[in-house]
Amino acid sequence: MSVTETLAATALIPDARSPATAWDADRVVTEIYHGEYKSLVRLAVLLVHDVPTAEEVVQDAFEAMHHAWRRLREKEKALSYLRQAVVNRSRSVLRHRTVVDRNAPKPAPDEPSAEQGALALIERSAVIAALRTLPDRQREAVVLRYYADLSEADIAATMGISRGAVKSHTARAMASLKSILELESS
Amino acid sequence: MTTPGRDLEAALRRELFAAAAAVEPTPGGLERIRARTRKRPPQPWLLSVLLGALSRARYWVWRGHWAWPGSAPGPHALSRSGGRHAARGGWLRLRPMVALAGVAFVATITLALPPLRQAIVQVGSNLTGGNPSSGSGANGNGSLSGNGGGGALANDANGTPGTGSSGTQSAAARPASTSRCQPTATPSSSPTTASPSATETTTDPKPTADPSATVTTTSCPSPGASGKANSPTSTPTTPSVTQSGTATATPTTTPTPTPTPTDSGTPTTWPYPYRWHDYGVTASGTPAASGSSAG
Repeated sequence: MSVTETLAATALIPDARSPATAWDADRVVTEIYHGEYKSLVRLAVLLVHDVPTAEEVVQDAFEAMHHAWRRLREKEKALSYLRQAVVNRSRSVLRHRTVVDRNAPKPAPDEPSAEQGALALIERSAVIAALRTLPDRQREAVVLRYYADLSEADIAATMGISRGAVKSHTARAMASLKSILELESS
Repeated sequence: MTTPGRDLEAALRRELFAAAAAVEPTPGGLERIRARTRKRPPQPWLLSVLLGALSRARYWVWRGHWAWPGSAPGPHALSRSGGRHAARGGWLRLRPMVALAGVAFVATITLALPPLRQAIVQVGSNLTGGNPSSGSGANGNGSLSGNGGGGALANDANGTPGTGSSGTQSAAARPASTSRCQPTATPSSSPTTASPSATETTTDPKPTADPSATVTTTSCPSPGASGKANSPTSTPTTPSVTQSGTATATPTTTPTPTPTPTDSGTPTTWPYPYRWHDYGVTASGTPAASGSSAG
């Protein structure tokens, strides 16, 4: 049974107060994990640039969805809920990391930081390196558009912004990437 | 690598997929998630309903619709109709204020209704460890409770009969200042007034206070000069206390609207939540502003 079929089946449960709710939540978590966990971790990696942190973010999102299972009005949108939770928590991680980096002592010039070691895995191309220089919202819009292949409406719902803002963020991100890459090539 | 236009999009897509394909999650993620969910099971249905209503209200305030953002059209759905969007923009700006006004209205209504207010104060006194009997006793029998639970309720100018205030509580709440500035708001037309001497002996911590001193307190300024509802001039309540050793206070409302100060010299129980020193007046304070004041 696919993830979509499982979600559709659980959405037909008439009473969400039934004792089987916890079991349903467990089942949906399991199904989504097997189908989407890897892609969600990869999405989070592109946002937070760190594999352990990305896994932590995705597991937090799963736990939040399981905890709020009775509040989900449309069970078939659990994946959308998860994706939005991943984006929001990635944003929180970046915000926290900014504060920590601001107050942390700077390492010696020849000493690679732990974050640089984790980033070495995914920063093998100039495009990814340029992507990392973008503001958070622009990077989220680009990753959701070109990696997750979401529509503008889905990106807007995931990021919690309007469709026009999605267009604006994407256009600015592409302009910035283009200028950065042209500068590097020249 | 740097190609203009759509080539850039294709290159970006290709690089993103290549970078993401290099990431492999560590195994055992499902076990970790299950361990977390075992510690934190789904919310109880009542809490989930309440939180759902709260989140809906929050989304209505900030987003303009009641449901989950993915299941209802957001503001972007109206962006094509410029006029409607502009009109909606003004309404969007006013929505938090409307929500705050609604909350203030509900709070005002809740506090304006005496039963609700009494219930809130009673619950508050219970939560803070106060004695509920003192709260109910302060409701009209004129005794000032020491713990403050019913102090606000005692401001009931309607003379709502309260029950069950023990004399010890009144005595503890009303120190010797009672005898130095005792209002003689006892209407002379109140025939049901019990012997105040009995009241004095049981409720006043200083029963040896000279009644004549009480009479001299007629010069104490009255809060009724400011026209408050709890002033002695506007309150027809006469706290006639019948004491038979059990300290049971029974307030009696007399129909006479204007109590007349009497020189009976009998101290009565002060039925109002404010004492004279709350107004910054001592026993030898300034005289009353108006002659009709009973204080």
